Amino acid sequence: MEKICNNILYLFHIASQNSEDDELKDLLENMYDRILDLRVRVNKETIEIAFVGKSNVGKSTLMNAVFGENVAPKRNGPYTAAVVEYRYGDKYSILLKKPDRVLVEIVSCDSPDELYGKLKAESTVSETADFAEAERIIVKLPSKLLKAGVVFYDTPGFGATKGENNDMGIHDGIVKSFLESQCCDQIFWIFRGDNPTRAELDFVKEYTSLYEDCNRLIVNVDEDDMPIDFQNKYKAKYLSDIKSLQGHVLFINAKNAEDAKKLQKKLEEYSANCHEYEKVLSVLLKRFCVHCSDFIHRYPVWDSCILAKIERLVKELNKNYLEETIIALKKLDKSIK
Amino acid sequence: MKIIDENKKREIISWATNMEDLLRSQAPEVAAEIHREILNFDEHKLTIAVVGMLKRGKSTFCNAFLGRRDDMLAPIGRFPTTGIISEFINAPGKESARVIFGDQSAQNIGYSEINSYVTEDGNPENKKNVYKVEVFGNFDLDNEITLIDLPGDESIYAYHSEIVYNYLPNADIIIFLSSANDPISFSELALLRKIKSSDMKKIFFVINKADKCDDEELNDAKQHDRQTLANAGIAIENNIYTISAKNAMNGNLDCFDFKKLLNDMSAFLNQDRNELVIQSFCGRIMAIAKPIIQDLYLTNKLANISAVELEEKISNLEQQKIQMTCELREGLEEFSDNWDEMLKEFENALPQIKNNVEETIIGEIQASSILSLNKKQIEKLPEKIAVTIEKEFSTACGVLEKRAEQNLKELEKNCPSVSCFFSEYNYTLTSRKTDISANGWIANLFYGSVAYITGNAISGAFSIGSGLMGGSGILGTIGNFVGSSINAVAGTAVSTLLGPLFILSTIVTTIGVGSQVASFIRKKQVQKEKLIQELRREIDGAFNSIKFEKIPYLRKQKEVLIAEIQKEFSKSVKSQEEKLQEALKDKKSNSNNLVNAEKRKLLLEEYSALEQQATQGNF
Repeated sequence: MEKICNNILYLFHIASQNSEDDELKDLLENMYDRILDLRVRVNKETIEIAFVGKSNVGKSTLMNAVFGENVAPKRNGPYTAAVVEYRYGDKYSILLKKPDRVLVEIVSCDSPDELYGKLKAESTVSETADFAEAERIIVKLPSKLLKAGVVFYDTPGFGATKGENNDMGIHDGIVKSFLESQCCDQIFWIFRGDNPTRAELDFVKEYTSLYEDCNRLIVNVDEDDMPIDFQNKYKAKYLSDIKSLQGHVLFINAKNAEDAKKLQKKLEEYSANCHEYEKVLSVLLKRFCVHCSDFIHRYPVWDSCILAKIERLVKELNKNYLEETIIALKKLDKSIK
Repeated sequence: MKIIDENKKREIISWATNMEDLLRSQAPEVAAEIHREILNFDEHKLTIAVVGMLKRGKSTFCNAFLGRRDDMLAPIGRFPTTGIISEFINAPGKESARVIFGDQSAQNIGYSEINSYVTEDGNPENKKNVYKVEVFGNFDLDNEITLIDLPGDESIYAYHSEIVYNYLPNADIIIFLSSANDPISFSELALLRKIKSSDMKKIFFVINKADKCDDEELNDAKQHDRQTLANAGIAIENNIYTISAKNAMNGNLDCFDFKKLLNDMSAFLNQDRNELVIQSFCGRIMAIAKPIIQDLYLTNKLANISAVELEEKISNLEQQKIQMTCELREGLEEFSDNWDEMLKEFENALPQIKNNVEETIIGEIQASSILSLNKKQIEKLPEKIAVTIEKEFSTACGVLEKRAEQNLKELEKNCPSVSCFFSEYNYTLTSRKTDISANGWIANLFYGSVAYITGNAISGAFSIGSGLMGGSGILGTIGNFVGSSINAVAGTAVSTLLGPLFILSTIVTTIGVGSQVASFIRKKQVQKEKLIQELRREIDGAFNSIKFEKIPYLRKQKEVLIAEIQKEFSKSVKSQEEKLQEALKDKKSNSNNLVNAEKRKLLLEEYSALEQQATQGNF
């Protein structure tokens, strides 16, 4: 996989250098970036899952539901300022990652309560220098789910404000750069049952496109067992133009223990399936071909030799579901000639 | 809920009616004008608008306020429900509603049909083209008050926001509903800033849904909201109220701050707001009456002077007039030169300001190495530009403002005989006396302070800024104008560059700098130059607009000011002459002199009694 990725990266790079057209160049650069992400993912041993949502939609509550114990502090306001990373450890402990990439271990705790208390104290006003400077807070837990190699990210809520000058949402920048740089395997977007706002939907629309095949949506509702017609209406109203979320919506009451179990099960399922990189790559390439054929007749500068090379590489993947991709590539090749 | 005190209004109306009666014999047309004002005042209703983001419980609040236990009049739902403005008006014995359509036509409907017009379900995307729905009924609501239920801001329906923004300026009280389980967000702050451009005193900031939180969460929300509002410079004069509209609608008015909110609103409407309304109403009445009264006063005063003295005054004024005209002409010439010079200096300062702006902004981009010009830095650019421009402009604009004021003061100083004339002849009545020595005769001519006049003359030129930022005075408006135009463009220029630059940094960190990367870097460098080019063009544009549009406008403003001053001056002199001649004629004919004098005196006495009432607010 890694070799294939590298080869494709190289081809795309050459192609982008040789093409004169800006639109095509953008497309190539975009693909380049995606495959770069994919390559990073292939190399990882962990499965990374991020929880992303507007402030106060219940990300921390969901986090706690996932672990089945209270560790993530929840406050009514935009308090979590750094991304919190939950990974496996045989003891409860907190590490801080500074901008200079130095890891500082600051606390180890005996019980989840102690951990919760510590995190909560630090998340409020009295931020100590270490915490204030940290760009990531790493929390280690002896959790079964985490031991299987899953890492969770609890991101700060976007859209929050402290009212300072030219403040376009204090945590938006942190969330955006996290999404752009982390290459997560799954993104769980979180809405609240009552009110996704226009700004929220716009944010999600923009960033779901970055993670096309790994978006999931959790709608955190107040009531248990939301009626199915509410669920359908909700999807029709808000998700009609966020295609990548449509088939992956989960209505959950984060405060309900039953629902928490349901969520844990879902997460186990997702993490079992999310390493099918060949599939992801083939989907990417297929989409790329569709994009290309959109304007390829307008700009017949594409080097068909590169296409042939890509085709050969794709063949190396040697998986049944790649046939379609190959057909698409051939079509593309034809239209060029 | 009843929150208005009716008596006060009746008292004021009776005061204004007295004034109308007083003036009827002297000037029937003025009395009629006062009568019209009274009718307007009597009909004026106070509006309470319920405003907030989507799903904050606005319709629930309205139902609670009307004392309804159901949601027939203001329907409530899980999804954003209200899509149309509803007005609730107390009309005992009348249980119906009226739909006003976008084309001004109207239709009467029953309560049960309201749902099909105001909700997103019944009237999706306002296909029925409804402008608003007026709901009448036997409500527990003051006759004076119209309660307004508005759609929520920031819902997926953009037209809801439009309705809200258009309605805001009409409201006397704004109940801003936020939610306890959703502390104030960036979008809410933006909405508040829009409201702020009208009048902050009238906003009641309410945290609804207090029933959905525990004490700690509620405290968190309150504390965060207060701090955020303070940071944003949005001074909420009233308290922050926590309520549960749902509980109130169910009849439980005692929980949280619901009662306190009602009391404070009532106090505001009956005292503060009333005072404002009364002040402006009384002010209008007095302004209508004033010319007549002033005339009377002067006639009265001149009637007590002997014929010989009057003749002397007339001939003196003749002489004075020549001297004054001469003085004013010279004074105005100098004023004109000063004004031009002031603008010239401002204009001369512009290149330096521009230079500083460019240097600060572009210099920084140029200085940063290609790899460190990261996303964060670029995102901060628009802000940086705005701050830099404001900083660079603040001195120059402050100087401009001061100089303009100084120029007018200079003009006054250069015309001593004009000042003398005004202090002798510009009679004003007791309490509303304009103090000439403090304000100068120019200010007196225009009824305001010199600073206000120049401020008006200058700020008119710059009033293009949105006013959203709430900047004060000329400086604020210039800053806004320049800031917003550059900000917007820099924003777009910057955002198109964000994507590629970010890709760059990923590539560099993942592959390491090699020969492949070098070509990418070259490409980005071209884009950096493009960004700088773009910024230069925009800064050029903004400064050109100041130079070729704003400054010429200010130059023209000078002519307007001079013409106004000359016009007002000759008008005053002429009316003075006429007054003196008339008084002399009366003296010589000696007709009805005593009777008229008695009558005048009485009228003036009555008037000053009324005037005193108005100034003391004692009706």
